[in-house]
Amino acid sequence: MGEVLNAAEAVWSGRADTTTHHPLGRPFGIEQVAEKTWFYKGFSGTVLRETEEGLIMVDPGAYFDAQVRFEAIRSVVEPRLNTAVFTHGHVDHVFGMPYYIQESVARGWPRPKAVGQAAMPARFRRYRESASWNGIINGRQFAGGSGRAVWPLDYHEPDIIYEDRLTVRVGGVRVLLRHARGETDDHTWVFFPDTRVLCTGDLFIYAVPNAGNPQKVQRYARDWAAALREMADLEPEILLPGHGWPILGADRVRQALQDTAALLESLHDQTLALMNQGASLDQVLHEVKAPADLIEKPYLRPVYDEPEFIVRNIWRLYGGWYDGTPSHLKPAPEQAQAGEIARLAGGADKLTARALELSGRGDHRLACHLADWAKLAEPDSDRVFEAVQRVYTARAGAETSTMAIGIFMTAARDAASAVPDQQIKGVSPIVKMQAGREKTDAAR
Amino acid sequence: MGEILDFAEAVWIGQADTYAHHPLSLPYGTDQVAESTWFHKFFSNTVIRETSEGLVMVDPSGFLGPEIKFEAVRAVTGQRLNTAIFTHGHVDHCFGVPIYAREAREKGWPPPRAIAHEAMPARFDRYRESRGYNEAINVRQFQGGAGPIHFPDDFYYPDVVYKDRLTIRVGGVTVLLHHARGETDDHTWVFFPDTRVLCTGDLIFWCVPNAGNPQKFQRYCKDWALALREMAALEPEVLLPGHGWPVMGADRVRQVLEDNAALLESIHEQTMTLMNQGASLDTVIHSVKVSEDLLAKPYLHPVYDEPEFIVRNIWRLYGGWYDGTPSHLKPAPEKVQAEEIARLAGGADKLAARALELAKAGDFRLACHLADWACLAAPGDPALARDMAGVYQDRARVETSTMAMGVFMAAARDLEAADRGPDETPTASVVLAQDERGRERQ
Repeated sequence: MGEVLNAAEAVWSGRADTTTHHPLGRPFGIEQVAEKTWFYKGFSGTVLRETEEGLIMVDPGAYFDAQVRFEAIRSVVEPRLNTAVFTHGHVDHVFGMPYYIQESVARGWPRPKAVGQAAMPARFRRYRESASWNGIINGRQFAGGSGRAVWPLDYHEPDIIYEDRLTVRVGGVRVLLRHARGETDDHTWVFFPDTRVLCTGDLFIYAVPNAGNPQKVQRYARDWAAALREMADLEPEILLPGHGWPILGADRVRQALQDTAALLESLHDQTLALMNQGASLDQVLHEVKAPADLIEKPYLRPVYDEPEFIVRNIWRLYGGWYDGTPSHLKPAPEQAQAGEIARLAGGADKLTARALELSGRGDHRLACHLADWAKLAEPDSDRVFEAVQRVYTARAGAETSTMAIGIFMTAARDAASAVPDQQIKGVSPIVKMQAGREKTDAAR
Repeated sequence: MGEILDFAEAVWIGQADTYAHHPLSLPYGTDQVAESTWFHKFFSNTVIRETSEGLVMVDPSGFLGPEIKFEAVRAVTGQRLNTAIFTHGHVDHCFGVPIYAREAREKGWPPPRAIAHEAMPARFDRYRESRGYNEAINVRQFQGGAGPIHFPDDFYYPDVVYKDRLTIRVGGVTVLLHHARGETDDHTWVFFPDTRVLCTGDLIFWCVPNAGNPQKFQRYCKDWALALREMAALEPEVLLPGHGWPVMGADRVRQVLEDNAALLESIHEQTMTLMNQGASLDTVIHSVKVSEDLLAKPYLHPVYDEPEFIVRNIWRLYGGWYDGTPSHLKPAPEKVQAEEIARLAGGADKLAARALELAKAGDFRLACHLADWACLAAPGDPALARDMAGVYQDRARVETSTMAMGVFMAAARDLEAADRGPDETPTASVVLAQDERGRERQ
């Protein structure tokens, strides 16, 4: 076994965990995981399957590592690329085709084709329309607001699209593609019946499913769970995820799929039951609980997304944008609200003093409201900014998920200065920081 | 011309307006609007087209009063129902087919068929699953929180579904069906090339498009505008909307379609521009402005939905649920926030007093925040609840849209109920309250 499969075994058996081995983090590398099958573990995963007519490849690369990945793959696997499958249109999965096309031209090979689900072209159009927005939010998500992420504009449109299911045969190997809404509306999962290899795309990422992502388009918790159940029914023996480590062995694979489905189903059912009782979003958010035994599984820690955020996307899907609190329907500008609160309290300094007190006691949720009100009420005060920075730095330190840490780090940074125009490209500083932080904690 | 077309003309030329005559309101009735074509105006509308092989009918009925619709149709034509088209799966549009199916059985006619977009069955499944939620929100939207409401679960699933476009021929009449995401993901608009009659479904509503609806499923502003432009390109001569009145004449129809599209496009583009600059939702909803000229058009008053709400659904579609204010990502419970504010202010009474002061000054947005905080911080204070109910009643009076009035009337009612116990008041209609107010002001 190589470094990646070693890490996979260590994480599964509890000798390591995703708080120190973030599913998006290192070790990176390419290893054989089944007959004629390799797995490249990077920020995202790539699966390679050799056939008599070249490679089938699931998710050729990310926009920021396509060349590195191409070279890593080519150092181990030689046959031409026949068909790439894009599991979904996220920008860490659908890049790299130009390297293989260039190679096919240089070597006189047939041109490789990419397959994706029918909703993918509309996603790429939306990405072009909202490119700047996406760069800004990814700067928060992955880099804590230390800059704006590079957002690509030049997508390789899938050469072949399908709607619900597709079976392809390449060089005598049969490959089943299944569409499921889940992390995205354009998700595909892939099964190789001969080797019983399952490629989940991001429907499995070795962490709480990213069904909540605060800054991104709608996600589909229940369809996701149904897809995981369908996968389990096929009795796969190897699970190769969109992020994180391979899972080897039918029992482990079934367990990982079923536990992830159970978590999503539980959040979905609890949320919908409360909505059907007429609860407000405030009630729903603070009443729904993720089953503790599931969250403790090595592959279900809240290191990337969180259950509370998944509840939000279930509300967003079935409900409206209105949260059930009447003053929120047509609110006053937040600055007017904050100004009012500061006036009633006797000044922004009263708010920051209280924010720091609450923060010191570990009541970060309330402390951050006070910090925001203070900052909005007195936007030009260095004193206020310093307090806000301390409150949000403390909060980022107490959070477990990339999503929350990124946004709170951004808030701390915004309090300190205007956002720098630095361009972020490559592996997430937040992910690195998460792993580093826990290692430091462990050493203490 | 009959009563409906007379009234349509009055609203068009400004003798009447939708502030006093809501598009969902009376007068109700049936008029012939083109050759072989009738229009039944009701809470929601029905289009009836005769052919040599029976009727093509667009939106046979809502779940309330299918017998009334049936009798209205049978008063103008005895032809069997051949094909019903559901413009979308909202419960005020896709009912009524079982009555015609029974009639067909009794008379030995071939059974009617219903055609709809392929996303409709999933909508019906969702409605059945979220019935409690839909009852709770429709009580607010249409009844200001008062009285019981029924949300149906006995849907007639379409017999034929299609994806993007469908052309059917019934008794020599060609009918074009076009799918467009707009008010819903399953919307169909219908064009009859021979008469140049356009049936828009709810893509035209005789008011600001219902692309914002606060309590409901995602809506699609940009696709909606695109569909309106496509309709205009067909140069229809008669526009028959899902709610409100017929628009007669090619020039008027084009103007209505293009103005509706322009309003939606303007909101979409302003919102996207701000999002692409990294603005927070707070900034976006208070920065996007709509042309007063457009909102002054007789068919674009904000009497049902509002531009500000449309902005919200664009954010929801392109962005995330997070609004860009960091403390809102993982908030403290609202009660905890309210208690903190009350403590800092020196008591819930201080908040309530300030709410009354702000309401009196007409600053209802801020007044309602203070009212919510006061009530959350002092839940057992009936006098305070009564005063804050008054703030919400006053706010409901200054709002123009059914959506806002319904939510604020419901807020007042909830607070009154906390004061005087279980609510015994009968069902109230937000739309009727709007019309009464509009007439008082004239």
